[in-house]
Amino acid sequence: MKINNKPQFYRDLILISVVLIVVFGIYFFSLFNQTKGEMAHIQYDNKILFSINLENGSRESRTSTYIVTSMPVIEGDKLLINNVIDNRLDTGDGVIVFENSYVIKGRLGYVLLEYSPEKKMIQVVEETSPYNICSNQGFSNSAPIVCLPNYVTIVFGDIDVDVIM
Amino acid sequence: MKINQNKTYRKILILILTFVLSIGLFGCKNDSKKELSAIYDDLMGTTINVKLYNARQKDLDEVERIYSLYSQLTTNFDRNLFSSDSEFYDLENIYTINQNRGIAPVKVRQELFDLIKYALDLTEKTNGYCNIGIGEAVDVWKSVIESRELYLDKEITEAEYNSTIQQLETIGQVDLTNIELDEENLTVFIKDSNVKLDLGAVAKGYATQLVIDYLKAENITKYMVNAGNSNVALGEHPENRPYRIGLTDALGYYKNGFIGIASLNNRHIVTSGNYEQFVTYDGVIYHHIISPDDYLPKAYYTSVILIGDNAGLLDAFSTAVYSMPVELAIDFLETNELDYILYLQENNQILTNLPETEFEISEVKAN
Repeated sequence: MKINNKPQFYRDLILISVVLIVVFGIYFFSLFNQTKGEMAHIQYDNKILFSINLENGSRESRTSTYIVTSMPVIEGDKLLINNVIDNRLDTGDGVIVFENSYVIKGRLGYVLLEYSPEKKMIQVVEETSPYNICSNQGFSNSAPIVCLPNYVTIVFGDIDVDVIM
Repeated sequence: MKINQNKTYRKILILILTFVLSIGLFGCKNDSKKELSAIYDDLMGTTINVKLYNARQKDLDEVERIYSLYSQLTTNFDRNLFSSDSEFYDLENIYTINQNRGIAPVKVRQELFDLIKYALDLTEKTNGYCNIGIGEAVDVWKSVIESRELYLDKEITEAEYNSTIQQLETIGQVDLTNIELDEENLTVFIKDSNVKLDLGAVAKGYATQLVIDYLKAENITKYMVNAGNSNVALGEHPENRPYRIGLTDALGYYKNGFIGIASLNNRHIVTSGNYEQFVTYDGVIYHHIISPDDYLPKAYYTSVILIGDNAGLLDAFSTAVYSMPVELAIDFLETNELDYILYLQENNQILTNLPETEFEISEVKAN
């Protein structure tokens, strides 16, 4: 009995230690993992309106932010939400957010952006401009997206920050 | 046999306990991350972004109340920012004091009286470099800058430039002793209409400091209060690491669009820059921070960033430093024991007294 007991005790100790190490390991890993990630900065006239963390889709906003419950629809020079005209955005000021879609107002009209959590990339879906260069560019996470006639640009950086001043 | 069974039970019990306790760790983490946040548009003439952790809705309400009150008290554009059903409706404010220049004393709330006294004290502490009485000159520049607000091209015409300079020349001597404060009756009287109050350099920081005082009194230690991206108060970070603050490089001289990243906790950080409100004439930038001496903006810095413990004081000091030559500025900051990051116009050089652990300068972009 007594001979058997000691290894038994050590086996328990090892088992408990392993469980503790694994759990602590996961805990610390999850702590450090949060600060990584590429950022997309959405700018109007070189001023950052808001930034999106491409890893997790989180948003750091520098402008008035309106979260809405249905997909905004651009119809000519009007923005419709739930079939009601929305006038809250000004040129270069404010962003309307629906899930991973964002609407801002550029020089020539509304610009609709989309973040894809699967691709971890961002694209301009719709905008008003003579050649639609930036909406034809598709998804990006590195090459800047430039909507020149609208003064809207999206640039990418590998630095994640809590606040931009 | 019985003993053995007991042991197995004990083993299972210990295992379960270990698991439960370990999972408790995650529970702790989630709890401290419970975020209560709000964005207030159009308060203090800007957007205020508040993030509180382990706080109650009533704390957030109090933050909004403080900023709302001081927005109404310090505006110099409007008698009323709030509708008639608001508790802040019809309060005497900077606008009404300015309207009554040379006419009559205005009775104000204690809060506004205290703020004006504080701001006058800061004018003195900055040797007049941050002057709350030069509202006339500030308005002249504001209207020029606003005229180009919607344009990418900020260049003004020769006629516009000349008319601006002419308007500035008509403004007489600003003597702050013409502001009469009556402590007993809580009245403010501007005797000389050359003096026009503009608390733009003080109000936001002052209100932010009151917010932080409130949070501290309520034992809320984890927070970030961001007033217009130029005045940010940092508590503890919910992830128990320093806050990372990206400092914009308007010139694009440094990599990643930032002159560097500051890592800070439990501090205030305030910036003054020439890159958000400005016009150009003949390629020279004329921005919204003007020197009280000649009412002209100075070209020493692209941005001035100050770090310290008092948001109200920092706000005024960063405005003051903006008009100081570099040597004088550093002397002034060291005397007042403030931390600084100065982004000089000369050679795009960065001067700082922060250790590398608190401020990491970006690499210069390769050409």
